[in-house]
Amino acid sequence: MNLPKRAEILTVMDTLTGRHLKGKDKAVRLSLIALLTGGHILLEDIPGLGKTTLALALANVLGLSFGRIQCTSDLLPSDITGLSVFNREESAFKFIRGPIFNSIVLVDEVNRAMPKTQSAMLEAMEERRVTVEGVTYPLAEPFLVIATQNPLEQVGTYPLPESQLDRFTIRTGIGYPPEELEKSIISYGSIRDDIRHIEPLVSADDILAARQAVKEKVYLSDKVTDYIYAIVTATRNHHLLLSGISTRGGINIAEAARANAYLEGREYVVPEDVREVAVAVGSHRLICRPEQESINKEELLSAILGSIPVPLV
Amino acid sequence: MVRIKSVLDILAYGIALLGFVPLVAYLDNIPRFLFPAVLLFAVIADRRGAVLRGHVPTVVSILFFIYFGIQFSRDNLVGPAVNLLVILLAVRLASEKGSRHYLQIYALALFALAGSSLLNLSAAFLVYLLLLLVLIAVSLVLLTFYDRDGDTVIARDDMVKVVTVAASMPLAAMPLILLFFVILPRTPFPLWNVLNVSSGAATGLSDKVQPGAAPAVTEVKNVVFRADSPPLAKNQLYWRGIVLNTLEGDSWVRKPVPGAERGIPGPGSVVSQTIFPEPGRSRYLLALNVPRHLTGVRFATDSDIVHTAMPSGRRLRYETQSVPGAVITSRGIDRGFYLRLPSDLSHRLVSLGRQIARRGKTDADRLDLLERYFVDRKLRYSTMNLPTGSDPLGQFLFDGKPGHCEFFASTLAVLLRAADVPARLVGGYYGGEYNEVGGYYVVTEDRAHVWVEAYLDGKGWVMVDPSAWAVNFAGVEGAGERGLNRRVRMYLDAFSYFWNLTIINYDLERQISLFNRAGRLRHLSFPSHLSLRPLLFIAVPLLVALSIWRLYVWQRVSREERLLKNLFRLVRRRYGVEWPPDKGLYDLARTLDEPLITRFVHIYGKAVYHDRKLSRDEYVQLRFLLAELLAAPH
Repeated sequence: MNLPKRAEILTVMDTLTGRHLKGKDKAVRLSLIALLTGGHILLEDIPGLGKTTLALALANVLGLSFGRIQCTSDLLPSDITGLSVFNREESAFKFIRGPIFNSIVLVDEVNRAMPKTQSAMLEAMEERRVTVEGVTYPLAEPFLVIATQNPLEQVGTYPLPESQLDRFTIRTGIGYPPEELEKSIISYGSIRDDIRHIEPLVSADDILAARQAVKEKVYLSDKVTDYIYAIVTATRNHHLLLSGISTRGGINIAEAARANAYLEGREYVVPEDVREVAVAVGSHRLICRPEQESINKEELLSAILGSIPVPLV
Repeated sequence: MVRIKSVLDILAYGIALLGFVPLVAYLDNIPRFLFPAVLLFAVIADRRGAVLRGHVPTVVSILFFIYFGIQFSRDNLVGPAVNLLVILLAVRLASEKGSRHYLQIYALALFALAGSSLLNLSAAFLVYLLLLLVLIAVSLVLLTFYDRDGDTVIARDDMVKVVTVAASMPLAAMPLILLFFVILPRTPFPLWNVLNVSSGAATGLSDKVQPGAAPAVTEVKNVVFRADSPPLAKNQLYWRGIVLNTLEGDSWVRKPVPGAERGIPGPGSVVSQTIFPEPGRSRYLLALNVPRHLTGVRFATDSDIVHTAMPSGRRLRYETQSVPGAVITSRGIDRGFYLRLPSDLSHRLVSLGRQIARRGKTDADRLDLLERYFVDRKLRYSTMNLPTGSDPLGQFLFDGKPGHCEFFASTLAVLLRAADVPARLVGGYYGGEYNEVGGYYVVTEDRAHVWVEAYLDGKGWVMVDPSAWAVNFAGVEGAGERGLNRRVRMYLDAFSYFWNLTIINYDLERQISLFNRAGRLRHLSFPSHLSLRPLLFIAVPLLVALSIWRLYVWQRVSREERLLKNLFRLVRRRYGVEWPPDKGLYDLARTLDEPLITRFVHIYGKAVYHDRKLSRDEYVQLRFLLAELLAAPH
């Protein structure tokens, strides 16, 4: 097996899911996939299920800098990017970097920010740099945004338009932990303090090397490409959907599938990798017909996947 | 340890050689020298595991097909065909050999051997054929192993055992083969029936006519013979068998013909027939009255034109040439012999004969007088309620009793003799059912008949059928079956006739003459635009297109697909899972959690999802895993 840094990444995953973030295997795994593809992740769930804990734990165990943005309706773009402040001693403006300059940025309740702020942030996510007052500042590398939103809250929110959602590689829920686990969590209380003391297991360079490996060492065959294309086309032609997965969505599925194959220790992508990530990567990009708004997009995409034969030969 | 494939290869070489060797002398130079070269190449290539793959063999085959196809003509059919067969065999040997290809080699070799039998009638053919059958049987057994797993390796002892058992099967079957295919169809008699021939008294040709012996006669519908013949008029259908020339007591029997009598049928139109008698006990050869000539059988002829077959173990068939209704001119007959009557003959008959003799001056006049007398008596024809007792003929003629042909003929012959006209009885058959399908007459036992031949001075033996003078004679020849029933029976009979003709009476010389006759077909005039060449121009591209299409279809079933099919079949059998098409192999491995399947999926996926074909090595491993999975305890 010739996949650099895979052992380290797996240790990270095992540490997190085994010790600190019990019952959040799927979310942890998807977060790592997002990290390895250089994408971002949107955690969509009700508050109090450990979204922030996840982000914190991830940042600590990866040894990356961590920033947090709590979105409110009066949050301004400069609150995210940072702003120039006049330094009296030097008689010059000095740029104070905002939280987005951290490697891992937790954007809490992203749908509470007003559209202007949202778009500024999403643009930064996409471009990986921030231009303030004519000066362009590159963001940290690696750079992972973990955004959260509460799907149930409607009042005073600015739901992210589909075009913005498309910029998140992965959207997933966290879900309640299993019964036993939840009981133990209840009895032990919050582990937020423990998390602060997690020793970093990898360095930023390791992550970049792993990312490089995912990109270059994992082979995506024509068959699997065809399979992804078949999925994408199927969503576009589905009678319940107004529009399906975009080309960027297709790219993201392929990237995430590569990352999944990497985590599995394979230097080639198999259709199962695609199936595993397709719902998390694709479902939030689907736009239902107006009369079908109530449909659960994840279930719909799963159903579509079930109708596409896997390439075997 | 022996690989099944090596043994199969060696057997295939042997089989191919057995197809090639009998043909060597008749081949063109290209196949004659190409085949041994290719065989040598195949032996070396198979040893090294490097064989021709892909389209090259197919293209070569197609080219040769066109090359020899152009040589095809009506006059030159076999030559190009056997050349092509040998080329195809060579190509098959040199190219990749899957189980399907082995089967092709066997079939081609069999065809080639069959082709050699068209060119050469040597008895060595049988040797080649038997060898070929044994080799093919062994190969087929091994092929089942090979088909299950192409890389099966068997210990030498086991291999010897397998080959011995496989070879013993055709050897054990050989006596049965001989029995069924060589002996049985060639027996002249149906084996089963000949063991229990019925011995009942019934109608039929016999060498003794005794009217009045039984009050009734049963009629048997058994076929006596079939005669390949053009349709004839009803009054010509007298089939001559035996001549009864002596009245002893109350029965007519046959005695050796005295003197230097020599009967020759008179002039007339000649009818040629081929007679196929059903096997029976009668030695007399039947032929349309009056036969002039018989061929195709060994026989003895008496001077009164009675043919007796020489004993022979075979079923008979013979050709006859007859002159229907001819007068038999005979020189030097012994008048006294044909006038002799027993002394205890009924006086009524004798006195009637004397009376006729007085009234008629010539033999012809007396015959005419007798005919008029018979017609005036209004005699009735019947096979029931017959007169018996001391004077059956008198009762029949004077007391109004009905009679059948024996009564009519006996009475007439007695009266003729009493009237000083030499007379004798002729036994045989009358009539017959014409089978339009096969173009032949079927004559059954119930058509047995007796009539009279009277010697008229200056003319010769003239045939007279007194039964025709019966008032009800026209009605005796029953209406018979009509319509569908008859047609069906006719077809069935025609089938059995042709079966006898081509299978039972199989005769090499006849087959050869058939071939010759087929050769004469070329004198038939074809319309000029229907010549063979344009047909060839249509057929060859069609065949080429067909082969390419087949190739395309075959290509689509790749090794990978075959492996997967086997895997899914195994999974279905072991786990009862019909794996859905939307789930992949890795899911399958995870779900079933069976190490063998996991390994299979891993090896397989590594190749397939790298966009490359399975390597030889991987293929072998996968086959091995499948075999292990099959053998693994559940």
